[in-house]
Amino acid sequence: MGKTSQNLYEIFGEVIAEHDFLKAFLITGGLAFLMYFSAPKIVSMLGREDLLNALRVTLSALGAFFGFIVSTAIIEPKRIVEEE
Amino acid sequence: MDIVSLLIQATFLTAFSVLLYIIIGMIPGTDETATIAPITLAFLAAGFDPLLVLAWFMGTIVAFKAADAVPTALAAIPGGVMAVPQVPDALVARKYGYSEIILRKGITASVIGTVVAIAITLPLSFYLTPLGELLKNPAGPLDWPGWVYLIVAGILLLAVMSKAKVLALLAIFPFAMLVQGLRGLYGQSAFISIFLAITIGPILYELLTLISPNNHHLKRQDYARIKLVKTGKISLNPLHHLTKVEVMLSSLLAGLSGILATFMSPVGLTVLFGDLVKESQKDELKGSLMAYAVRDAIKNATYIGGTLIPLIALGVPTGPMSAGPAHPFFAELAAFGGLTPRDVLLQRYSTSTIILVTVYATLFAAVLAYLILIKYSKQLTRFVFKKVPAEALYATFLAIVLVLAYNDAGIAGIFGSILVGLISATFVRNGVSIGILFMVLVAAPYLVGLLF
Repeated sequence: MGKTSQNLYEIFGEVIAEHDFLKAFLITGGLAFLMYFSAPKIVSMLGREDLLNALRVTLSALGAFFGFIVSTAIIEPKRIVEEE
Repeated sequence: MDIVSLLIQATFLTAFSVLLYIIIGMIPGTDETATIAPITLAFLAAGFDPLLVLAWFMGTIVAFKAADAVPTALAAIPGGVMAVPQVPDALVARKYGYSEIILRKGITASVIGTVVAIAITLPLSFYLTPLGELLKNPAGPLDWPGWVYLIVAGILLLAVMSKAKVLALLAIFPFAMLVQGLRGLYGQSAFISIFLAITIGPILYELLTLISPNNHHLKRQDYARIKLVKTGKISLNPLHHLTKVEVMLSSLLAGLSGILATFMSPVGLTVLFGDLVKESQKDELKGSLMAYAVRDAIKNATYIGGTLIPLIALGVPTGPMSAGPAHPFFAELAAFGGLTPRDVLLQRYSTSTIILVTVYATLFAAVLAYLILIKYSKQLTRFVFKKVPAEALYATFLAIVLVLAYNDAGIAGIFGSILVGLISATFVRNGVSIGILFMVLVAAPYLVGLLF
C-alpha cells in the first residue's frame, strides 16, 4: 500500500499518478466529446432540432459525469488514511 | 410553472446539489469557482429555468462552504480555497484536543451565516432595485455605464489590498488586452471559454507542469498520509455548539460581510474579520475557536450576499463573487435568445416567487447540509479520502471546461482557453487575486477602449 510503479506528483496537496490522470482524462474527455457530437443525431431521432444547443451542453456534461463515475471506480485514490 | 411544482423541483435539485457538493467540498484542492461555475453555466447554457438553477446554485454554495471546513477540522487539510485561512485555527484546536469542538462550531456557524445572509441581503436586494437602473445609464467623464465605474473601483481596491499590489495593478491592462484580442480573433464576443479558462487556470497550470522536464519539485515517492482525529457522538442541537459571543459575532459579521461582498472579495473578508476576532482575544485557544466559527459564517454570507444583491438589485456583476462563480447568471446566452438568465428570471417570475423559492432552497440546503455534516462528517471524510481519486475529479472539470470552450469558439476556443488559463494562473500564483481577473474580463471592452 502506498507504492505504485507510476510517477507520483503532488498538486494542491493531493498526490496524483500521471498514467491514472491520463486515463481519467481520456475517459471523461472522450465521453464528454462523444456525447457532444452525438447530440445532432439524438435530436433528429427525437424530431426536436430546436433543442440541439441545449442538449449538446447537457449531454456533454452528462458524459463527463459518467466519466467521473467510471474513473472513480477504476482508479485508486493516492491517500493513506490513518485514524488517531 | 405553478409554485408547488417549482418548490418540488427546487427540493430535488437542492438536495442533489447539497449531496454532490458536500463530497466535492471535502476533497482537498477543489477550488470553489472551478467546481461551481462550469456546472452552473452548463445548466444555464442548456436553457434550464434560471430560478431552478438559482436554487441549485444556492444549494452548492451552502453545502460547499460548510463541507470544505470539515477536513480542515479533522485533518488540517483545507477542502477548498476559502478554508485555507481556517487551517491555523484548526491546528491550534488540534494542539489542545479541540478538533471535534471546532468541527461542530464551524458547521453550526456556517448555518448561522446562511440564515443571516439570506434574511438581510434578499430583502435589501429588492429595496436596492432602483439603483440597478441608475447603474445601467451612461454617466461621468468616460460616459461608461455606472456599474463599470463600480467594477473598475473594485478592481483597484482589490489590487491594492492584494499581496502583490504592483503586479495586480500591472495585470489589469495586459489581461484586458488578452481578452479583447482573443475576442477579435474569434470574431465574436466570446465569454464562456475565457471565463472558464480563468476558473480552471491554476489546476491547468499544475497539470501542464507535469509535462515539463523541470517537474521534479512536484514528484513524490509515496501516497499522501492523512491523519483523522477521533470524534465522539455530536449533539444535533445547534445551541450546544456555540457560545453566546460566538453566535453574536458570527451573526453580526456575516450580515456585514454579506453586504460588503457586493463589491469586495469573499476571501479577503474572511481573512480580515477572522483575524480581527482572533487578535481581539488574549487566549490562543479561545481566539482560534472564535475566529474559526466567524470565518465559517462569513464564507457562507459572502457567497450569498455577493450573488443576490448584484443578481436581483443591480443586474450587473459588481464584485469578485458576481463576476466570478455567479457570473453565469449575468452572461448573455443563446439559450435565452441572447438575454441573460438574470433578465429571464425577473421577467418570468414575480418578486414573491423569487423570494419564496430562493429562501426555501437556501434554508432547506442549510438544514440538510447541517444534519448530514453534524451526523456523518467523520464517515463522509473517510469515504471521500478513501474512495474518490483526485485524478477523476480534476479530469472531469477539465473535460467540462474543454467541451464548453469548444462549444463557445471551436478548436480556437480550446487553445484560447489554455492560453488564458496559463496566464491567469501565472498571475494568481504570484499573488494576484483571481477576483481581479474576473472583474477585468467583465470590464475588458471599456478598459481597452481607454487605450485607443
